Amino acid sequence: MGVSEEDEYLLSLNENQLRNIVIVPLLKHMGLRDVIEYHGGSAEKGKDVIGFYQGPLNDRHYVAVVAKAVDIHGSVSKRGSATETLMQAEQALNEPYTDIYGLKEVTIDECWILTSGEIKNTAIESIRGKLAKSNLDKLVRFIDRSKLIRLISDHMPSFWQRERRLLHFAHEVKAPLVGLQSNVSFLQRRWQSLPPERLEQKIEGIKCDIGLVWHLIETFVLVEQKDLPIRPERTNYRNLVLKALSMVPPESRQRVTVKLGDFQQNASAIMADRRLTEHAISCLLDNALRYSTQNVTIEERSDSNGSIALLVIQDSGIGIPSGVEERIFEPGYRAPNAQALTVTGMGMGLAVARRILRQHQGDVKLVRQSDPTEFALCLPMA
Amino acid sequence: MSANGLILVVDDELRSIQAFIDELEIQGYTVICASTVEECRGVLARASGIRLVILDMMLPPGERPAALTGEGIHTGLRLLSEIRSTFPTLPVLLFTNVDVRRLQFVCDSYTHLIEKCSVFPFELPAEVRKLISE
Repeated sequence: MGVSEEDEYLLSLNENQLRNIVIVPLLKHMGLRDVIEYHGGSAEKGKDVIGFYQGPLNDRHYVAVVAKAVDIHGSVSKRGSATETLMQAEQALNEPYTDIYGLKEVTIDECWILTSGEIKNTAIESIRGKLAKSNLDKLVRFIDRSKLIRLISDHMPSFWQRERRLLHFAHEVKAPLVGLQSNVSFLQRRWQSLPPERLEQKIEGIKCDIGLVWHLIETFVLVEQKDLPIRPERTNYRNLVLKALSMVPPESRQRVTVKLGDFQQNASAIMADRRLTEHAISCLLDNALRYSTQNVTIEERSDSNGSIALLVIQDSGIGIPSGVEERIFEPGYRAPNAQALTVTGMGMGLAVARRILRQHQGDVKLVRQSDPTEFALCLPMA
Repeated sequence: MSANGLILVVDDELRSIQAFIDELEIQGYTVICASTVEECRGVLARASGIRLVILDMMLPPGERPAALTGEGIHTGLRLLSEIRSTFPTLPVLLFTNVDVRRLQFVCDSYTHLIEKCSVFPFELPAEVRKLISE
């Protein structure tokens, strides 16, 4: 059987991560209450995670999880993972537990032996056999990695997506941090011997990397945030575009043409949350520059009846393939031609930009798929 | 020819490692840069006297790491095996943001591994000297 991405993920976790990142939230999503990680305390007595189900008569049905990040195999007659697991399960079921919420001593009604590894049938039979001697065998459930993956998918359908986002973010943010760290260290050593223009270049590089880190953090937070409160104020696209442009690396900035004319003379007033709308513009600009080596144009237009202010961002890059016109706005989705061109990119920019604009009763639309590709920010005029 | 030799740097985000390149140049190396697999192939076919390749792991086209673990196939590893088939003893320094603890298997006498965040620019030339002289 092939190893899926979900398998790989669970296998990469240590026991502590498994308990905190996976088991505790999973139990909560499964309806258990007062779920706590119990590991490490003197009162643990075999229980790694504990919670309870509320019964129909307001009774509490306590569950203890014995968590492992290894395969459980072998027999309880020999030293090994099966014996260790058995001892922990026996202790979990036999030793009472002080419920820190009710401050009562309670006994565990059910023990789940859960691992991110595999559980061999011989180990299950051996553990059950030994527990049967004290009538505890019916109180034990076994959950191996494949069952765990199903439980996560059933009860926390967004879990995998969120973990993916987190890992992408962690990877994306490394490049500007390396840039920052190395440029600062370089300047520390070479400050005095650098000509002014090189010094200026390095400082500009640092500024851009800081901007990039902020942009990534902001994007990540905006995707995660449930509510997106906005604080609209009267402004125009021009102010927002200039601010967004100031954070673009100079070598990329040279490729951006801001069409003036009407844009400068008669900039339409819009009501917008400045910080968020500027972020949306940055997302679109970043995409245009990333997927095109040619010039990028930013142009203000108005719709035919003059009630919507449009900001069109145009590039002659790789284009948007047919069939994914809406998918590109899904968080985490990257079109196949985008993935082929660059390794980096969280696939969040368009989703975040659209979310921001819709919150303003506006939208982000794909106007033209290619030659040139055009995205439009649409906001009602003030 | 530069005092210390010619180095090929292959990285799709050259901007983020510019300080490392600057430091190598200050310390007497000549650096040629390539930002794609194709460019790297071209430079290796044309240029002679390359003493070392500094190679990023994740390069376009495509193959990002397995999304949930950061592992998976990296384009740089495939390029490495390509380089090895033509230049079996050319020193290669894999210079990456990927967690190197998971990648020790690629190391041998001619292939070394450094995580970008673990060195400062002024430390890199010493590593390079060591690899070239070995």
